[in-house]
Amino acid sequence: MTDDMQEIISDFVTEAEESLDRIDPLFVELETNGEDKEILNDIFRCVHTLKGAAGFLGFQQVVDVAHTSENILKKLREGDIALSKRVVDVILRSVDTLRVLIGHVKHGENAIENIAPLLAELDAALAEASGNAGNGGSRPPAAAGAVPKAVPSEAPKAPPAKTSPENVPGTPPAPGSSAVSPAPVAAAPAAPAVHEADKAAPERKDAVSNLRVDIGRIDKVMDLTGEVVLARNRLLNLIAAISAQYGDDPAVANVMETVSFLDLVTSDLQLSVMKMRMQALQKVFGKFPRVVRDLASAIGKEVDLKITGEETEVDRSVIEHIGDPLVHIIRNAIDHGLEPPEARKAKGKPERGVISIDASQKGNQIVIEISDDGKGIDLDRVKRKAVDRGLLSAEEAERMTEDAAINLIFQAGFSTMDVATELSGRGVGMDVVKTSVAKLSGFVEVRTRKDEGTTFRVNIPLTLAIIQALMVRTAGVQYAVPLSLIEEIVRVSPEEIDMAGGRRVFVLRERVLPYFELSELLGKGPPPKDAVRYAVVVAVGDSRFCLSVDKLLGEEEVVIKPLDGLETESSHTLGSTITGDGKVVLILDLASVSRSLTGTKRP
Amino acid sequence: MATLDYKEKILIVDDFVTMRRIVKNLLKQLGYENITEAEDGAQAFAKLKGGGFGFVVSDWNMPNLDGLGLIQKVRSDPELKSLPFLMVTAEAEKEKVIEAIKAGVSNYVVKPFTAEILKEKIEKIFEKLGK
Repeated sequence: MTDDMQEIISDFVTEAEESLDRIDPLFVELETNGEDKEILNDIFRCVHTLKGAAGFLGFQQVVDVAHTSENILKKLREGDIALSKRVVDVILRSVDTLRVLIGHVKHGENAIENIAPLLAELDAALAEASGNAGNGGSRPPAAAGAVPKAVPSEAPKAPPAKTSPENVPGTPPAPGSSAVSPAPVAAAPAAPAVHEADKAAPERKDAVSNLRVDIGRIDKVMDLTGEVVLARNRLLNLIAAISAQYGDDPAVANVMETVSFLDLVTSDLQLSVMKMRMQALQKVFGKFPRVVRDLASAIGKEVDLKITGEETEVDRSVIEHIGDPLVHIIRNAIDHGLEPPEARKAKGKPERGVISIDASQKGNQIVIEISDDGKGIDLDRVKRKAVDRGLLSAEEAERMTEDAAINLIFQAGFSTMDVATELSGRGVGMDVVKTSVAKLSGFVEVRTRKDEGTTFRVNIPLTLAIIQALMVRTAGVQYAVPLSLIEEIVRVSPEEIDMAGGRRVFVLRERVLPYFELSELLGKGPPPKDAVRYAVVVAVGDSRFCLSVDKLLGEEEVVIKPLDGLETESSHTLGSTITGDGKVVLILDLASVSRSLTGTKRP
Repeated sequence: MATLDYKEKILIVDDFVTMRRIVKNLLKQLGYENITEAEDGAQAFAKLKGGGFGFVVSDWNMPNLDGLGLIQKVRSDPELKSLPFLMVTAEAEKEKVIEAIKAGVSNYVVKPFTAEILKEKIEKIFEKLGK
């Protein structure tokens, strides 16, 4: 029974979080589109159901907050009070509080929040709103007054328990005086129900074919699939060796056939498991309208938010970790990117700024772009600030390319605002964005134009667990290089390497590419003179460079095993893997390599 | 005492998964095992039409077709019109209960309730049927 209870509570947390996540965007929609019965009904239902379940499970604080907000929502739904900023603000605050409370439940904490001020605020907002809507007086005033007062103490009781069955058909348990009012009340929810009925068919089908599975189980399947992939790789290697030796034996041919079938099935299995873990970005993007609304209204800017591509699916670990960095970029765009309305007017721009968010899948990458039509990043100012902060010398700043200058904003301890505003502030800078995205093996690019705006482009690999890799050897050690970021590979003889601006470059089809030795980068010293080199041309975002190695060993699908306790950023590794022939090999993190090579500071 | 047979197929209707689990759990505590779920009135009605159900526990507030809509449809259906139907309501809906009773629910229970209360409600419904 306790196990059952545990499961119910964990279901409750998931469902409650989902319900609460739905409320924010619904409210923003309400504010922009005006009052809409259906939306209000939807919001009401979320809170109402949450309260019901919380009551069963004994989460009294959740019941209290949900119940008090429900009172307001009910009045809103029935048109007794009008939607005002105060009402919306206080309900959104209740939603936030509910999130905190659900968070306590989730982590099994017995923490008690001080919800009294919020409850008072909710009641006050209701009282104020009811006062304003004095002409909505068709409703019996007694009911309006009685409901909020009855709130916190009575909710958990189960009064009708004593009602005898004989009582039921004749006398209603509620005050008989209200017998007039139920009819219009009940009519409201019933009406939409009818015309929604035709929409119901596809949704219903969805619901039946969906299955909630504990995430731990999926992760386990994912892990095991990784092991299968590794075993398959080994098997492919072994069978290649065996067939080279005993190719004529029909038994070997049979094994070959079976192994290649296994190979195919394993790839399909891997893909299917990957898809199982994918979720639409909607889950993350759904929070943004609220973020933009709160922030814009707090600092007096007018902002329109355009979201596209929210149906793009990504791995669930991306869903979990991409929210914060994106919110930070959005905050930054509203706070620093967009000009105040007067300034925009003066420049001949519309007073309302626009933030656009777009997600799409490009090959093996998910690309999320956050653009504003603000003033753009002032690179001279960025450089000056970086020099002031001692992040680089004036001379370095002078020589610096535009790209490198933009990248300064990602350096720890950098902020162009002299006074950290309350909003983007929170004591973190864009460097946190960079590190969080890097943890997902992704990278951020920035494009900016004076007075036209800035675009932050976040690139994240589709899956974090299994990648195609090129195996290389340099200074006697084998490394795996993610194939998705490799453009091409060229054989280079030493005399083809030129010098430009004190750096080695390689000219490939009239394009000058910075040229680096992987062995030097990893602190293993230069390769022997006159040795033949293979230049791996890497493209990370807009920057391209050559990484030179001793030997190419071929392609392999590798399963990334995270390395605990290794500082991945400075070691330039994503993790390790086990190769087909059973060796442990480090996987290079090209995004981190690129940052250290093209940035101003060497590692 | 007349009560719901333990072998009878029961339908729980609620749009919130947790609520369905809670009700299911309570029914199991009372010894009922043959339980099916539906997540709104429309889905529930389709399942009921499939036949074989001996009892319905339905929430009121649901998308697509709410509990009231469901009981109205059930009562006007010749095959289902005498199906025992327990409506789960919230306290806020108390004033509307008369509506549900007019529509023909066999009884109603207010959230939150315990297994004992549920048992009592079921017994009352079946006592009355037995008469």
